[in-house]
This record gives sequence, structure tokens and C-alpha cells, in this order.
Amino acid sequence: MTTGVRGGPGSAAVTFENVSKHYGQVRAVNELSLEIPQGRTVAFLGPNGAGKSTSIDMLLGLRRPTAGTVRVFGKAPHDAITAGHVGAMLQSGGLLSDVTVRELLTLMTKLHPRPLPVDEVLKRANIADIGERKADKLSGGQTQRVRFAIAIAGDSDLIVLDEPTTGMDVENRQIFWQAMKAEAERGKTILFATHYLEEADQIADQVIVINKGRLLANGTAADIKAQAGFQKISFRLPGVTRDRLLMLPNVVTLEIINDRVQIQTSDSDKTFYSILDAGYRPEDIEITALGLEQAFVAITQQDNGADAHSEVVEDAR
Amino acid sequence: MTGVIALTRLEILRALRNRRVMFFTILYPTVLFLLTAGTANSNKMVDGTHLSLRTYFLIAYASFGALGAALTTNAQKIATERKEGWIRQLRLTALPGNGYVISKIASATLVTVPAIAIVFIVGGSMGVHLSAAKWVTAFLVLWIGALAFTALGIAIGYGVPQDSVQMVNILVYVGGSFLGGQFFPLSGTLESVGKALPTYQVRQLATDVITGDHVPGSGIAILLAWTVGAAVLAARMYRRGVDAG
Repeated sequence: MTTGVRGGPGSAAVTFENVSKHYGQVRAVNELSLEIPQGRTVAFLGPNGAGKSTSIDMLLGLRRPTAGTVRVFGKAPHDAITAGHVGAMLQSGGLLSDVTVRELLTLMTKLHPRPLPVDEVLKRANIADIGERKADKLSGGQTQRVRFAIAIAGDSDLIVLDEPTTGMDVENRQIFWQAMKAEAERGKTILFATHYLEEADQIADQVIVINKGRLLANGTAADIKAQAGFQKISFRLPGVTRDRLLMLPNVVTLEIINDRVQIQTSDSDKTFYSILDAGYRPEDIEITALGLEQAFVAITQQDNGADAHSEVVEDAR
Repeated sequence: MTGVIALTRLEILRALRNRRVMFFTILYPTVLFLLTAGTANSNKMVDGTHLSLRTYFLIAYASFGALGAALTTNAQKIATERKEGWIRQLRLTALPGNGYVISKIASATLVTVPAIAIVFIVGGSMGVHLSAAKWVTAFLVLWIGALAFTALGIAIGYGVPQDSVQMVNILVYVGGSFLGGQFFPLSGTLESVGKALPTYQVRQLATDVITGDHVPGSGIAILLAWTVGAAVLAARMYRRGVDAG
């Protein structure tokens, strides 16, 4: 168990308050507000260029917001890091090539106010067998595990992981998530950015989606799926027009390509019965549940104002 | 503080392991010294002085080693570590903001010790006789004087893109030594140009200490100006790195 998290009980691990970051004319992050309570495992999602990396950089005190405040356990990010609240795993780089893994981690434990024994760090990150190897002699998966070890070299309260499983094979990814779950069970707050949405779906208690620098969704994976529409109904209905289908209940998005209709709905039963009640007899019917991945694609596309082929209906709920 | 010490210890270990650093700081100056000082005419006096060529080269190559150690230990490494995200990673630790630079200064300062000492030992064994006080003073002058190059190395490491560092390093190292009298005693125009450089002044200062000649204040002032200037430049470059974004 982690003890003595400063800031008092109930204080959030991370708070963004109207945070913006502009690079010249580009608004990488725009009025972002969110809160991550202590002890959660949080997935941070967004398409490329959504402002994820910039947000993480600001959370870690590597960049200063143009406006707004970022707080980590009630402190300025850099102060939180100096106090040993935060362990972070960068997406790339950050290793010395001419020292052994053990030497590197020995240093990292000594740079933490509440260090763990090096052997314990090696064990937790599943790299006990490569401790004597130089960092430039490691495979991609091993390198990622060493980066993870850096993030847990001390008894930090928040662990931030930027795309931790990139370049890992399936087996390595499973080993990795086990190690991370063990950290979560120790009571740590975990924030990870990822491209693998099934990971977020399985592991996260809270999912934050940003797009174009703004908060798009913040809730459980189930909440996000509900926001996107739980199911997708697809069928063929020659000659149908968009206007005729618009009044169907629970429709989130509606798309007609040739004779093929695709509907995302928050209640596939109600929507589908209404289609039948209206007297339509669709063919080649498919009803599928959305995964987080499709939900993610759906809400980001919706936010992007839809592309040329799909037309979006306002969420009626 | 434990963090800075731990990082410094690792830095020294890395420098000692690095063959290129060892070559430039110890082997290269020592071999050059042996080649020049071992020749027959090295008992001759340097023109217009009462200093033997052998003693002249002792100081010249000890300063050459010190300059190489101070410069090459850091410039290339800082540039590479900047590029590879190591500095970024360190900023995510409780290491104080200046801890990285402190560890670089400390390790360069320590690596400079053998660079000077080995040329001194070889020189002593080849028949350069000096009083203990002169050995020690000359050592201290070269050692402290090398701080100018340590600061310059840090400024280069932060200010020059990684792929150009090698070139700039060699330019400063070889060019500075050529005009500083590290390779041969200077006279005429070369010497007037060289006098403006820290390579010349640190060598001359140590030489004056040995010959017991008057130590000119202007020489100390020039060396000090370079040290402070390079330190300010290094600090500015360092801060530019920190504030990026």
C-alpha cells in the first residue's frame, strides 16, 4: 500500500483546469479540464495529433501550459515529481546505451526520494534476467520493460506511461499488463496513453478521450460505448432515403452508401423494431456490438464533423 | 544530493569505460609527448628562454590532455543525451535542475586529473626535474584552467546539433591547440593570435609557474574571461534546453 499521499484524502491525483497549449497558431490543447481520482487506472486515448503527448508533457512538467493550471496531488507538476509522487515512462529514448540495466536502475532508485531496492524493481518489471546487459543490446520488448522499470524505481503514487506497449509482441504485452496490474493493486494511480483500444477496454477503470485538443469523453469504457451508440445495425434496403430513416429512435449516426444502411444506435432493439414497424423489410441484416475501438472511432469522427461519406445525426438523447 | 553523487559516479564510470575518451585524454597526449620530447634536440632551450624543449612539451601536452578531457568528455555526450531523451528522462526524477550539469562538471574535472598526471609522470621519468612545489602548482594551474574547456564543452553540447558536435570539437581541440602552442613553441603573428585563446594562456601560465617568470595579470584575465564567458554561454544554452516548448 502507498501511504502518506500528500494533499489529503480525496484530493485528485491529477487535475487539469482550463488548460490550453498553443504553438503559434496551432492549438494543441484547448481549454482542457479533467480530473483523475487517486487509485484509478486510466486510459488516455486520442487520435494522432489530438494533443495527448502535449497533455502528458504538461502533466509531467516538461512543458508549460499557455493558460490554465495542471495540478498533481495538489502541487505544480515539477514539485510533484521532485517530491517523488510521479514515476514516468516515456514513449521513446531516455536510456543510456553504455551502462548496464542494473546500473541504470540503481541510479534511478537513487534519484527517487522513496527508492525501492534495485532487485525488487528488476523483479517487478520482469527484467531480472537482463540486469547485466547494456541497454543497446536489448530487444524492443525488453527496452520497453526497462523503461517501465524506470517508472517504478521508486514508490511513486502516480505512474504515467506513454504508449507503453508499442513494439511489444502479444506475449510481452500480457506480461507487461500483469506487472502494471500489480502496481495498480498496490494502490497506485496509473495513467496510460495507448493506441491499443482493447487494452484500454480490458484494463482501465476510466477512459479519457481527447480530440483536437479538447475533452471528448470521460468515463468508463461502457460510458464511452454508450456515447458512441452501443450497437451497429447494418442492412440493405434498396431505394431508401435518408429522410425516411432519420426519425428512428436511438439513432446516433446514420450512413447510407449505395443501398447499404449503417446505423449506430444506443438501443438496437428499439431502432430495429421501428424499422420493421415502419413497414420496411431490410435484407442482409447484421447487428454487432461496438468495441471500444469502434466507439472511439465513432465519437472522434462525429467530432471531426464526419467525413464526406457519412452523415451524422445529432444524438437525440 | 545523493542523486547528484550517484549520477556523478555513473558519469565517471562511463568516462573511464569510454575508449575514445581514454584515447584523447591519456594515450594521445602521452604518445605525442614521447614522440616530441624523446628526440635528440629536446635538451635545447626554447628560443629566448631558459626553458628546455622537453619541459616546454611536458606542460604543452599535459595541457593538451587536460583540454581534450574537459572538452570531449562532455560535448558529445550532452548532445547525444539531449537527442536521445536522457535529459528529458532525468527531468522526470527528483534530481535538482542543475544536477545534470553539476555531474558533468564533476566528472570532467576528475577525468582531467589522470590526463595531466600521466604526462607529468612520463616527463618525470624522462628526466624533467622540478621541485615538488612546482609540480604541484603546475598541476593545479592546468587542472583549474581546464574549467574553461569544461564550460566550453557543455556550451557546445547544448548549443550545437548532435551531428555537428564532433566537427566543432575537433576544431576547438586541434585549432585551439595549434594556436595555443601545444604542438610547438609559437612566435610572431601566430603567437599574437594565440594569446587571445585560453589554450595559450593556460599553457603559458603553467610554464611561467615552472620557470619562475613573472606571471602576467593579462594572461590570468584572458583565461578567466574565457571561463566566465563559456560558463555564461553554457548556462544560457542549458536554460534554452530546459525551456524548450
